[in-house]
Amino acid sequence: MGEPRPPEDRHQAVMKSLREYGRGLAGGLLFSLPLLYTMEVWWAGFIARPGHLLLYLAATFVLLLGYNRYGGFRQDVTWSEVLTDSVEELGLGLLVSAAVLFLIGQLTVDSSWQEVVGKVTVEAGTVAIGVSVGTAQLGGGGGEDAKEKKRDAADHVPGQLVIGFCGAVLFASNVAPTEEILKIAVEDSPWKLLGTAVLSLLLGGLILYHVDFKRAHRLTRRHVAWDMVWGTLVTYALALVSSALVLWFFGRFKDTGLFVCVAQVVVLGLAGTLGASAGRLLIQS
Amino acid sequence: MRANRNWLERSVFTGSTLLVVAVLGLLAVDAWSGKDAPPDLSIHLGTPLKGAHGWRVPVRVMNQGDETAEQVRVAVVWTQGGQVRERAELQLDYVPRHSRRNGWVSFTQEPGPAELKAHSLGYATP
Repeated sequence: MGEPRPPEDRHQAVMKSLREYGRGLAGGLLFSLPLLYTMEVWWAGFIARPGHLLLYLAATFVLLLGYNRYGGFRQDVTWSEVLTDSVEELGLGLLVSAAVLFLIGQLTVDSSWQEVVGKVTVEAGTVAIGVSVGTAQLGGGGGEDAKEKKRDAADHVPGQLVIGFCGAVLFASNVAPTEEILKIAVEDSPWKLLGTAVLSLLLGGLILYHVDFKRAHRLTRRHVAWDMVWGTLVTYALALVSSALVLWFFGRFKDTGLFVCVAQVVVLGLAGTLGASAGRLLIQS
Repeated sequence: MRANRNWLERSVFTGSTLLVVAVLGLLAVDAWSGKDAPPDLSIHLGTPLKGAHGWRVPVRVMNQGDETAEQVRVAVVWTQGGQVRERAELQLDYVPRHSRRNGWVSFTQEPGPAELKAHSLGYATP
C-alpha cells in the first residue's frame, strides 16, 4: 500500500475505478450476448462433465492472463497486477452471466446446483474475455505515448500469438456451439471445404497485410515476403487450433468420424481466422 | 488496476476471488465424486385439474442419474377396472442431471389419481 491520499483524491480514484468497471461490464455484455442468448450453450452447461468445466475455466484464465499482459494499454504492467485483473474479470464474468441467465429464465428452482454452476461457468468464460477487452478498448485510451509503446510491442511475437489466439477463441466460440457448423460440415463437398480453407488463408493475409486500416502496416513488417507468408500461416494455424479446442469443448468430436471432425474445424476456422487477424488489429489499436 | 488500490477495487477483488474459488470448489467436488451413472428418471403425477376442454394432469420428471437425458418421452396411462381408458404422452427436450422438469398431459374425462400410471418410454444421451 502507498501513502494515504486526501479524501478528494480518493473520491476521484473511486470514480475512475467505477468507470473502468462500467467499461468492462459493457464490453462483457457486448461480446457475449449472442452466447448468452444461444440454447446450445445453455445445454453445454449441463451436458459438460465437471472435469471439462474445470479445464475450461483454467483455459479462460490463461487467456485472460495473456490478454491482460500483452493486449492492455500499458506495457509496464507487473504480473501481480495482471493476476488480480484476471481474477476480477473472471469474477465479474461469473456474476454477469448468472444475472443474465436468471433474467432470461434459465436458472429456476427446478435446476440442480450442478446445472446452475455448469450453465453459469460456460457463459462466464466469454463474458470474462469480453470484460477484459472492454476495459482495455472501450473509451479510456493511454494517449499517443501508450499507443507508440503498443506498436513497438506489436513486434513482440509471443504477445502477437496470445492476442491472435484470444481473438480467434472469442469469435469461434460465438458460432461453435450452434448446430449449423455440423450441418455445413456434413453437407459441404470436399472442394467447397478446400475453398473455405483457401478463403480463410487469403482473408487472414489480406486483413493483416494489405488492408490499410488501423495502421495495419505499422503492426506488421510488410516489406519482407517471408514474414507475410509466415504471419498468414501462423494466423490460420492459430485459428484452426482454437476452433478445434472450442469444438472439442462443446462435444462436437464425440463419436464423430475423422473427416467430419476436420470438416467442422475448417468451417469454424473461417470465423477463427477473422478473430485472430482482425482481433489482433482491433484489440491492439 | 494500480498497486495503490481504493476500497472499491479491494472489495471487487475480494468478491471476485470468493466467487471464483466457490465455483472451482463446487466443480472440484462434483468432479471428485466421479460418479458416472446413466440417466435415471422418476416421474410424479399431480392432482388432475379441470380445464376448458377436458382435464390436465401435472407431470414432474426427475433425473437422479449423473448424465443428462435428452428427448425424454413420458407415457401416462389411465386404466379403469383393468381396461385402458386413455393414454397421454409428453416430450421434454432435456432433463439435466440431478434436475427436475415439469409438464402437463391432457385427458378428455376426469381420471382418478389412483388410476394413473406414468413411465418413461425412452431418452437419448448427448
